[in-house]
Amino acid sequence: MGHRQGTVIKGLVLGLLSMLSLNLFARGEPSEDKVKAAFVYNFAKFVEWPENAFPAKDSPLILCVIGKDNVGAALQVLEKKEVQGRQLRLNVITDLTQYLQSNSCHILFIANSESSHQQELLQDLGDAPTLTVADNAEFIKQGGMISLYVESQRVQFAVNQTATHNTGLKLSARMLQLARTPH
Amino acid sequence: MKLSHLPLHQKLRRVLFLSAGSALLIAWLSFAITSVVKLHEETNQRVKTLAQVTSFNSQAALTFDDIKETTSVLSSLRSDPNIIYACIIRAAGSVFAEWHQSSSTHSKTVCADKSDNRGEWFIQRLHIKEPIYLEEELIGYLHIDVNMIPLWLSLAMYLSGLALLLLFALLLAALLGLRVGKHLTEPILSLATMAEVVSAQKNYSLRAMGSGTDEIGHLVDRFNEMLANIEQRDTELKLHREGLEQLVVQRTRELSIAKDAAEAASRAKSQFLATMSHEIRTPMNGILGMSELLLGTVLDARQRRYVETVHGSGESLLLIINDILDFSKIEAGRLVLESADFSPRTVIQDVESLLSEQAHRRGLVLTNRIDPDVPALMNGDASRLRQILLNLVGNALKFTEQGHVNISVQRQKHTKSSLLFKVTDTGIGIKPEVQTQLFQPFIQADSSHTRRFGGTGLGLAIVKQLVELMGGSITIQSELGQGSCFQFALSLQPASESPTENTFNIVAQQSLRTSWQGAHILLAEDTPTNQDVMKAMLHVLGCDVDIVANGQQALDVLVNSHYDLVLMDCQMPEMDGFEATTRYREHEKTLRLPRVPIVAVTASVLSDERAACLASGMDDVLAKPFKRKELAAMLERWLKRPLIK
Repeated sequence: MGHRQGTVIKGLVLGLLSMLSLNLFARGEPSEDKVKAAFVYNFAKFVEWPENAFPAKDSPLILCVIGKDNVGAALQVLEKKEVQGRQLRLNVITDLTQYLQSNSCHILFIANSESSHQQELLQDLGDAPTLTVADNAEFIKQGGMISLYVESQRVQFAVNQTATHNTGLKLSARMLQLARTPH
Repeated sequence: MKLSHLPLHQKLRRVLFLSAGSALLIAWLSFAITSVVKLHEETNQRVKTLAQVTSFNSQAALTFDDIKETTSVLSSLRSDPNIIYACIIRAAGSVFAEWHQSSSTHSKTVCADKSDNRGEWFIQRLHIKEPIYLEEELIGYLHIDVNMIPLWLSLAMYLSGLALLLLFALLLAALLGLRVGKHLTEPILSLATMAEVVSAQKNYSLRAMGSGTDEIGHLVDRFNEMLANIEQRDTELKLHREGLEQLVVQRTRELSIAKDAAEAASRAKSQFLATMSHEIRTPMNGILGMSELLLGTVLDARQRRYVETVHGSGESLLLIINDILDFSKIEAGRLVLESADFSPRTVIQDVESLLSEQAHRRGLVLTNRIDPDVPALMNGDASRLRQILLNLVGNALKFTEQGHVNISVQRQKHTKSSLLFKVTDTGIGIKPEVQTQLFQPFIQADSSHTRRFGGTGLGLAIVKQLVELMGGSITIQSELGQGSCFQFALSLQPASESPTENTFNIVAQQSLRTSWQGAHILLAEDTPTNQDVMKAMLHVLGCDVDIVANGQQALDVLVNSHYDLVLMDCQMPEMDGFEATTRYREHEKTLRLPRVPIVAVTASVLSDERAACLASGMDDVLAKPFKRKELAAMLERWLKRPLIK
C-alpha cells in the first residue's frame, strides 16, 4: 500500500512539475500534446544548423508541420516565438515535395495523420538540414531523427543519431544525454 | 630597563629576539593573511566554476524537465567533499531538484531561495546562487552550499603548524646568534675588563689580547697603542721629573755653595772691616795723639800751622773712616742698638762740649735748650743718639757762616716717652729740590760743597738710618739763606732704674771735675806709638802711668801693686786684654779685693767687640783714636768713686 501511495505522490508531483514547466504554453492543465509541442520548441534550442541553412542572419527558423494531430495543433502557439536569435515561423504544409521546390524546412514535424508514409517523406527530404520529429517510437527506426513517446507517464524522446549524419545538423550533447530508448 | 643600560650580551640577545621575532611575526602574519585571502578567493573561484559548469550542464535537463538527469548532474559535485548541498529552483520559484553530499544532512538542509554570500569573509557556510540561462532566458537558479569549516580548520592547523615552525626557527636563530654573538662580544668584554684593570691599577704596561682584523681587532690594536703611548709618556714624564729633581738638587747645592761663598765673603768683609778699622785706627791714634800733644808745646807760628794741618787732616780721615764703617754695618744689617739707661740731658751736653770748641773757632754760638719736662733718664742707645746729634750739629756748624746753632729737646705732646730733637742753624739753607735727596747716601746739597766743606756725604744717610732704626723719622725744614732745621722724634723706653742715683752721679761728676789728679794708672798696650801717646796724654792730665806690653805682664803687675784704673788694649801678643781681665777679676774675687775699674782701649768699633769687652769683666770701652777730652771724660767717670769714699 505504501508503494502505491509513493507512486501516486510521485505522479502527482511530476504532474505538478510538468504543469509548472509548461506554463509557458498555457495556464491550467498541461496536456501531453502541449508538453510535446514544448519539446519540439526546446529541440530547436539544442540543435545547431549549418550556416547555409539560412539565407540571411535574421532569416526565420521555419517549423514545417505536415499532417494533422493534436500536437500539430499545439505547435501553433510557437508562431513568432524566438529561438537562437531568430523568429520561429510555422508552416503547415500538405504536399512536402511541392513545398520543398520553393521553400525549406528547418524542423519538420510529421503529425500522426501522416505517419503511414513518413518513410517516403524522409526520402523526399534527403540530406537536407532538417530536424525531423514525429510523435511515434517507430519513426527513428524508419530513418527519422527524433521520436516522441510516452513512458512511465512522462513524455520522453529518442534520437537516431545516424540519421543526422550528412545533414550538417549538430545535436547538443546535453540533449542527447536526455534521450532515452523506448521499450 | 632601558636597552642602553643592559650589558652587551643581554642587549645582543634582545636585539636578536626583537629583530628576528618581528621579522618572523611579520612574515607569518603576511603569510596568514595571504592564505586566508587565497583560501577565500580560491574557494569562491572553484565553487563558482563548479556552479557555472553545473548550471550549464543542467540547462538541458531543466529544459526537458528531466529531474533524474538533473540530480545526476548535481551529484557530479560530490567530487568536492566540502560541497554539502546543491539544488535547482525553477525561475518560477518551485524546487526542481536537490542533492546532498551525505545522507545525514538530508533533513538539515531545505532548498530555499537564499541570497549569495560569496563576498562575505569567515563564514561557516558559503552559499552560491547561480542563475541558469538558456538562450538569455532565465530558467532557474542553482544553489550550492559549501561547508567552509573544514577549510578554515585545515588553514588554522596549517598556520599554527607554521607558527610553531617559525618559533622553532626563532629559537634556533637566537641560539646561533648568541653563539656567534659571543665571538663578537667576547673581545669587547675582555677589552672592557682590561680597561677597568688598567684604570684601577694604573698599570699601563698591560696589553689587551688582540684578535682578528675586523673593527674590534682594530679597536684592540688602537687601545694597545694608546696604552703604549701613555706608558711611554709616563716614562718620559718620570725621566723628566727625575731630571727636574736632579736639577733642583744641583741648583740647591749650587745655591747653597753660592750662599756659603757669599756668607764667607760677607764674613771676610766684616773681618776685613774690623781689621782695617783696627789697623787704621792704631796709627791714627798715634797721629792724632802726638799732634795734639805737639800742639800743647811751645811752637812758632809756622810750626803750629803745620801741626794743626796734620791734626785736622787726621781728624777728617778718622771721620771718614767712621762714617764708612757705620754705613757698611747699617747696610749689612749688623748694627745692633744697645739698650741702657741714659740721660738725654747729658748726651746733649756731651755733644755741645765736644763741638763747642769747633763752634768757637768758627765764631759761632752753640746753644742748647732742654725742656724741663724731659725725663732725667730714658732707656735706649745713648752713643747712637750722640752720633746722630754730632752729625747733625757738625753738619750745621759746617754750613753756617755766622750766627748760632741750637740743639733742643722736648717731650712730644701727648706721649710719655717720645722725645723731639731739633738742630737749628742760621746757615746757608737747602734748596727744596735738594731736600728730598739729602738723606740719600753720597749726596750733598751741592757737589761743590764736597770741595768746599769736605765730608763723605754719608753723614745724613747714616743719621736717617739710625733714626729709623730707633723707630723715628727725620724731617727737614729749610729756606735758602735763612737756615735749616732738622728734627726727629724718637720713642724711647722709660728708664728701668730710679733716676735719683744717676742725677746724684751727674751732680757728683760735675763737682769733682779734677779729682783724678795724681791717680795711679796701669796701661797695657803693645804698640810703642800708642804707649807714647797714651803716656803723654795721661801725664798732661796729671796721672801716674806704668806701662806693660801684654796681658800676662799686666796680670803680674796688678797682683803685686795697687792701681786706681787699668787701661787695657784688647789685642795684644801672648795674652790679650780679654783673658787678662777675666783672670784678674777671678783673682779679685778669690781674694775679695775691691774692684779696680778696667777700661778697654780698642781700635774696633764693632758692637760685638764692645759686648765681648764688657763680658770679660771690663767696665768701659774707649775707642781708638780718642781725643784728650774723651780720655779726660773717661777718667772723670771712673776715678771719682774712691775719692768720694
